[in-house]
Amino acid sequence: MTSLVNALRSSTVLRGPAPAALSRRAPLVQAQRLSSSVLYGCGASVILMLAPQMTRTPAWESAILMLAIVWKLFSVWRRTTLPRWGLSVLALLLASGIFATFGTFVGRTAGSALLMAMLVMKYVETRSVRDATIVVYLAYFVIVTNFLFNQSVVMFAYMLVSVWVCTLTLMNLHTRAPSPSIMSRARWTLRCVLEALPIALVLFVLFPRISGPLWGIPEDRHSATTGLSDSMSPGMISSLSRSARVAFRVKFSDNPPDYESLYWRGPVLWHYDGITWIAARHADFPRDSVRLGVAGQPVDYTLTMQPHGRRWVFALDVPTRIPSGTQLTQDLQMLDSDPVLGVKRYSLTSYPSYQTSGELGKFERVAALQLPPGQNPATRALGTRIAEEASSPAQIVTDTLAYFRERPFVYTLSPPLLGEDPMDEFLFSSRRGFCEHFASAFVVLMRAAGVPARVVTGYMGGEMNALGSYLLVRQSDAHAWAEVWLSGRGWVRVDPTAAVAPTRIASGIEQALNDLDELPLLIRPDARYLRNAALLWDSLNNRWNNWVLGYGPEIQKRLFGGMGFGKYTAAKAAAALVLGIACLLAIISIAPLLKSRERNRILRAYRIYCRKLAIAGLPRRPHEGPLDYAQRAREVFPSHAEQIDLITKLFVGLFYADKPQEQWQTQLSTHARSLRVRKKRGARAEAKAAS
Amino acid sequence: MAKDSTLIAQPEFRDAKRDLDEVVRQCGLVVLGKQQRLRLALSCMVAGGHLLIEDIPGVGKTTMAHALACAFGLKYQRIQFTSDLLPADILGAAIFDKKNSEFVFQAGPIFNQLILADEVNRTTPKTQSALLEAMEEQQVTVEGNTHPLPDPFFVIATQNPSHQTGTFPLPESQLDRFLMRLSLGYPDREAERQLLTGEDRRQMLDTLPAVMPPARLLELQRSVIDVHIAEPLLDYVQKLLAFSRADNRFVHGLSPRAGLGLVKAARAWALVDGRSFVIPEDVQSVLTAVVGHRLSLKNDANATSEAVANLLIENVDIL
Repeated sequence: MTSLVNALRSSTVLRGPAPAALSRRAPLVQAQRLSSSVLYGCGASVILMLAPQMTRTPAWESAILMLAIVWKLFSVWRRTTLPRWGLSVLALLLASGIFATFGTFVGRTAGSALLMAMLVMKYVETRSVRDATIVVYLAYFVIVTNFLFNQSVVMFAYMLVSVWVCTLTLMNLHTRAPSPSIMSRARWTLRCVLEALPIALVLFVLFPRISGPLWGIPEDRHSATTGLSDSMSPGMISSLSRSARVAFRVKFSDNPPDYESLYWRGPVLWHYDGITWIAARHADFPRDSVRLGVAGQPVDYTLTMQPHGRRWVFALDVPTRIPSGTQLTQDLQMLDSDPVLGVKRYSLTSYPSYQTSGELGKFERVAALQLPPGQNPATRALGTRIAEEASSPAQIVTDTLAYFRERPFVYTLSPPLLGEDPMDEFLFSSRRGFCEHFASAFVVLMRAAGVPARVVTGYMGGEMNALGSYLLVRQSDAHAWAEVWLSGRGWVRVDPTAAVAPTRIASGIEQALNDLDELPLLIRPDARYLRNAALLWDSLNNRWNNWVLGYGPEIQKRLFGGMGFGKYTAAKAAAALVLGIACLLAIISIAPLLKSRERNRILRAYRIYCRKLAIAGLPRRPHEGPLDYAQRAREVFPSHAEQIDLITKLFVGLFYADKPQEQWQTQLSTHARSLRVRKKRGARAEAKAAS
Repeated sequence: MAKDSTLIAQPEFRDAKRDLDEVVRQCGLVVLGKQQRLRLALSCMVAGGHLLIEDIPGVGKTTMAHALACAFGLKYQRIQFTSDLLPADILGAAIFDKKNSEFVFQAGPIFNQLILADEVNRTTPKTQSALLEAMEEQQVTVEGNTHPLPDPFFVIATQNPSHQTGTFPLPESQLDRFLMRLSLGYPDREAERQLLTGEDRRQMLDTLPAVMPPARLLELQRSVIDVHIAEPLLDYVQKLLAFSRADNRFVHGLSPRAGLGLVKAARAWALVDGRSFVIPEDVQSVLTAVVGHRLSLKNDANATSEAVANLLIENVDIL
């Protein structure tokens, strides 16, 4: 068959052009081939898709992928085809490299690295429209994978742009010359993307939300633990304080409580091995041996945690109402049932002033008096001495605080390194420390003096963002303090840092430190403009977190009820979803109808003008265009030429032009109505003569 | 009738109008008293269509084609069609190269940007169709190899009225390939006097400078698609098409291709006028040239294009 076709085709040279059916075959095959401009555009969009991923893939892969794209662009420019074996070798190299690096193809990082390699390899071998279509579809998928790593506003905006560029590439693929200019194609695709946004919004709001990540990606379990840990050793919190990262944000329902009471309670540390403090296991103590009594005003607030990979939630000391799915431990820590891996919101009520009562359990007393034997002897001796001199445990506490206040202690972010007996060294020789040093030394002294005590870590204070009226708590606000058990008063918070650096507790860390260069730039008081800009940016992020990332099943249910649908059920949600999308589609399809109504209004005004001229003796011929008619009318009614011109101009502008302006419509109506043409004798005859 | 287009001139296409006016002015020096025809021919080129000029010999068909080629600085080739012309004479052929012992493609005269196909109806249907195939696909396939034709590529064909002797009239299907058909007609008194007294127009052609590069022409061709055509105007075009199909005075109605051509030509006409949108007058201005060769009347086979187009125009309301 093919030979027959070839024979026929070669004969065309001698006998004229080929029969249409045969010569048409060539253009069909041609149509599948891509022009170099489409290939360049495709390459540009592939680079755009890869850019944010490049930071996450191994450097060698990024380098190879970039080189492969450059190779392809070069071959497009030189109009050569790449060798097939080269592609195969490259693909094998990439696949084995990825496997060697990650040991798997499954999982977030390895999976997306593989996906990117596939995207680039497909692009490199692209020759026909079909290949390029696959590249674009793959690119859409690669865009989505960005959300597995980064869910910020910036990334969202970048992804929108990426989707737009992808769609534009898709459109370029399917338009053939002569086609609309690239600018108008860009405008069309932008419109497509924007029209899709409301539908995306409806899906976002109504599609059933699942709590926690949809995919249990193994890597997520162990990565991204930031912030406080469940242990504390000298230097840990001070290094955390150098970070301006946001720990969490708090929105108070009413006025925020005083700054001094903004203690955000985190892990409570009981066990001391001489250097490091460690939290107790929750099962260590029997429940309900300590009761909670509250006083004063409750504080209602919403707390939005940034992901930190741990279970604890930094509630305001002490939370009394906590959402379901979370629990309050015996030492008053609030724990979520799962590690906080995404931005999560909690509605809470706390009482800043409270009292614990009851008896300290046996196990707790032992744990609260534990000290590693043989370590920090000088500190223990000091504790015993204070205890001997004091009359009551409360007296011991005041005397110890006085000790800190009277000796030349320095509150600093860069304390010296401590050796074998860190507390001895700190108390008697270096005397320079951060909150963890003071809390730690204080608790050791208390325990040596026989007063049950424990270390509490968390955050202290925060920064009020006036732009969103919420409190912003950064890692630099991390803090450690102590609690002592006084019989009759229960656990009492004592902050030894306040004895040394009272401003830390009264107005925040940046006021309390002298060596400001140690602090992150964003929280330094001297960088005001930068700081305001940062606050503005953060309030934007806060809204994003609250309304987009923090939009979970709870809020969805509440919103659903608020919209008047009653209790949330899957069937109702599905119905609302379908209804919502149907409404949107209806609006989109009704738009032309509204336009035609508008058109009728324009026509009505123009017809008034035509009727007035007709009464005056110059009817418009049905086939006469507005400009032709205006010309005729001007000749017959020269005194009205200006008005006729204006009405014609407005009508043509509204009815036929591409960018009609709103105000023209009313202008046209007014002018058409105010036109007064006097009947002219013989106008009809004149008009006939003119034509 | 001159349209008062200054009323609604658009800034975007003012440059286009200025450039195209210059082309019209320059060609007008050679082709006297045919401003309107020149504008139509120009719209046809801007719309990327091919042009058929039908008239008796000696009214300036060739001169006009040549003047347009000069004004755009296009590579120009005239092919005189005769009854013994063969397809290979136009397209080119594979010729045996003795030195390398292989067939080498020798490009024919069609590989130029503007082809004047003179007296296209004097050659045989086979050769006619070779030309028309190339026009349609903008490429030539010889011995299984496809050779693209240059861009821009225009064919201006001329033909003698078909009742003259020794002609093979183009069938309707091939007439359809031409976007417009024009007839030039006799010059008016004043123009003819100027012609008779002035210098030789053929010599003047050699001195005409190019006023617009081919790249600019391509750019204008691309911007034709950006000329806005409003819904009411599309309604009007569809009413015209529907009337041609429903009215029993016409032998056939207008084809969808004719409708496409009409819209494209109207857009190009608006562009030549410096406007970014189409008005009904644009459609009417190009209607004669676009539908004249696609429609014929049942009871009057020799009706002129004007008569046919007027029948259409006068029976359709623009609003």
